[in-house]
Amino acid sequence: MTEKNKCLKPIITLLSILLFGFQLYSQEFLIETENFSNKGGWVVDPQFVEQMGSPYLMAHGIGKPVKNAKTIIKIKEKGNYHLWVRTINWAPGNWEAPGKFKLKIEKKTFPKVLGTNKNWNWEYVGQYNFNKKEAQIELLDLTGFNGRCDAIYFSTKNIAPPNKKNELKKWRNKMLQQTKSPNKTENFDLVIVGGGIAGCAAAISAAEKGLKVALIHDRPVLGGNASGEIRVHTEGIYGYFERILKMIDTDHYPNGSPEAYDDDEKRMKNMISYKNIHLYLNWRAYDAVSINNTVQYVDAKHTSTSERIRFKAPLFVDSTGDGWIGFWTGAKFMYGRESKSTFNEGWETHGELWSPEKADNFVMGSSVLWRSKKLETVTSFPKVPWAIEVAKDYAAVNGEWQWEFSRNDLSQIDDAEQIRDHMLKAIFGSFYNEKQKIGNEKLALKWVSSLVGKRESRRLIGDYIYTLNDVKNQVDFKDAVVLEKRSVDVHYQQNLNNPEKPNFLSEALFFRTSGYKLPYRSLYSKNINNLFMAGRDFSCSHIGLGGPRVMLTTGQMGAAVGYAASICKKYKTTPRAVYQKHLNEYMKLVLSSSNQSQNN
Amino acid sequence: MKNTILKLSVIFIIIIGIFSSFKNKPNPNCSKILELPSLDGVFINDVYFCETETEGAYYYSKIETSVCSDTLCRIVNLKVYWDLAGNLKKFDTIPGKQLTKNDHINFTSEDYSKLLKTLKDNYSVIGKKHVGAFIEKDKFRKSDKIDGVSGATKRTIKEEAVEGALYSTHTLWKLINGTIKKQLKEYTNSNYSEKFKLQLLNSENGNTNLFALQKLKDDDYVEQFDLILKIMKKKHSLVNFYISKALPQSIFKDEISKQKLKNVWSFLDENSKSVLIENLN
Repeated sequence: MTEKNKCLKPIITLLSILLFGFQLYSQEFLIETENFSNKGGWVVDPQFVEQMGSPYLMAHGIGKPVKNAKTIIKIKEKGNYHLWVRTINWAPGNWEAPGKFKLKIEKKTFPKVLGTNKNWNWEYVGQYNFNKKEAQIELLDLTGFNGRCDAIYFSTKNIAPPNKKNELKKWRNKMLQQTKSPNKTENFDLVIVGGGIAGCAAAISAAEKGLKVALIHDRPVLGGNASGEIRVHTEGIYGYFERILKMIDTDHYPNGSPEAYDDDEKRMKNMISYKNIHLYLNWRAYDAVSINNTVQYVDAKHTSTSERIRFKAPLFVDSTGDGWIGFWTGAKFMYGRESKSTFNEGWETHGELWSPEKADNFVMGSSVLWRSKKLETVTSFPKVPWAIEVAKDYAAVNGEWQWEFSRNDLSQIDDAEQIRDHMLKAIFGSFYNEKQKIGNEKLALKWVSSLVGKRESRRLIGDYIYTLNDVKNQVDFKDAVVLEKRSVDVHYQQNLNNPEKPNFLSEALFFRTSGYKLPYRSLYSKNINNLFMAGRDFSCSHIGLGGPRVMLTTGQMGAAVGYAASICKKYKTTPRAVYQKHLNEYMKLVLSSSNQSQNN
Repeated sequence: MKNTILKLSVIFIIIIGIFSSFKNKPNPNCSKILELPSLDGVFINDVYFCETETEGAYYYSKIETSVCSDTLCRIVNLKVYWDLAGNLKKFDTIPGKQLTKNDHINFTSEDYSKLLKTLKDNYSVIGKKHVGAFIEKDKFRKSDKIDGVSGATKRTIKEEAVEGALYSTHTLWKLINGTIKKQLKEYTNSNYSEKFKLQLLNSENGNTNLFALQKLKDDDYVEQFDLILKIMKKKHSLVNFYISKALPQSIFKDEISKQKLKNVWSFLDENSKSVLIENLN
């Protein structure tokens, strides 16, 4: 050891002791806002967990500040704490942030206006001296325009938490003392992830054949795009599964109508009547693992309590829409528009709008529906300068399916929050413009969905990839389990062809047909042995998705998959073996669906 | 005397017929290439390929068609000009045969402008469906829990059709943008030349540019790069997105070409930029 090092040693030791001592002394804790006991008017938004890291609370007041969200926190060590909230300004620009809020602890409202970060990040709030072991925290919405708060961090040290995705994930788990695996494991015959129409239908048909089914869904209501939260009516035909699908479908109400609530009620009543369907509402799957190309389990987390469960089963259904189970377990998948030569799907009449010469990511977009109503009295609507950059001078009173957004550089999965927010700007801006017209003094914005209704995302690859040619050639598959008569209906953004149109409106191109059939082989993964898919993530080309993407058709997929799972259970075999070895028995089951009754 | 009158009448009709027939031929530089029947098949209209020094090459027809609503049919006449890609260039009215709305009021100049815009729109909603279906859809049942139904259809009709001339707009759109389009493209394709290519690329119509762009080879993109840049400045998103994907790698290896692309950056939409950015950086 040199003389210099000898001198440094005691200094380093002292510094270490001080630092270690300080660390021991420091106190910190994290509160996830979705865990708040009283959410007031704030809604839990779990749609973008994979991108920004967590469900969060959002003040979706469509222009009117929502009631405070509140919770009681317990403090281990009294003292002076620094506070941060993780938030975002979802419409940054040369105007005030639309989603502003404040934090209140007990009687102290912090002066700092929150919700001003350009991206998801921590905003410093101030300091608070906790002199009791308990305190009430409140989120005070200031605008009603979608202020967001992911979490609140308290620390006796003035050091902001990490924000980089992976670092934040580790840190969050550490702060919340989350073990690597959930402590609780549940076993089923079939685990279905996604409670849209496809997932519900799969649960019913499997349950009717005696399977113990888990249906995991990240919302409080079933139905997905058909639910009262998104309000798209079910379209398509019933095929072989009229009896099952009529339990969960919707009336043909105008998209956006509150009549969707009645169908939510019907759907829930029917679903809970099956004793062997175990419903996990407000549970969001966040991981799945496969070994030797076989899914072992799906891990899910409660969107409000953060409780976790590991779901085990010999068979799984990916009805997540985005193909998450397939993605996590390494299933092969496609995304984007294939070139017209890939599957020979070109259509000269519509050229590039239909199927491009060179592949791209310009898939069909996502919608946010909305409606307004004339009230008895005059009502106001605030200025929304942050929305006008998108809406420009467009004015409207409601938004149907054509309110849709897609862009080549935006992934319908990874950029879904940006897409949803773009639609919110389009809606609030267009309504504001409408409201300025003489005669609209009593017009009020009545409902805007906070959920993005997707049309297209990952498509998992099965033993058969369904394409336009199967429609054109009227292919009569021997394993045809889904029937449809609806036109192949592919959307494009209106502004692509007409620069005068806003970029949030779409148009449909129809390839008319007398009917077509989909094979069972498009409903299980090519390389993951025990994974079915039902819904928009089934095995098809971009154009092949155009027809069967509507909800009665995807419901048929679900029902078909549920029956296939029962054959798998009976013979302890794989989805592929159902086609290879038990097709006659399976088809008989499918064809007799309408005559079968509940068997639970 | 009677015979004389009859003879004179026959001669008069023949003269009118000859005159009329002469009038239907637009000019000596035109040659008949096909026939365009009206939607109901009652009228057969000649379609000409024409080429002049000032206008270049184009297609022409003096259209005569019946336009029928539920209760009434009438005749509509129009001189129609298509470009080499089968896209409508313009139309002219025939003296004494002005278009009318609500069956008797003459079109204003604004009405003609609106009609031209709609007829030029390949994706006009008004042309895509049968008018009956439109009207039917407009009667979409009202929800008892919602005040009104989607105004999209009404709005589209208002935006695209001349008020009081929905049937005329619909019929003319179908006729001008129907199967004739494909036939005209085929004619162009079978007679394709360098001259045609340049005329198509220099067109103000983005869809017409696209027709020619789809025929270009990599070398053509390099050779016609300045013309391609000129097209990009027209801000047609579909065309620019197509070009962005089609540009050969050799363009991106040349610093001058790269700089030229950067110079048109402000004319591009996000879709095109997203494709180009990967090659420009």
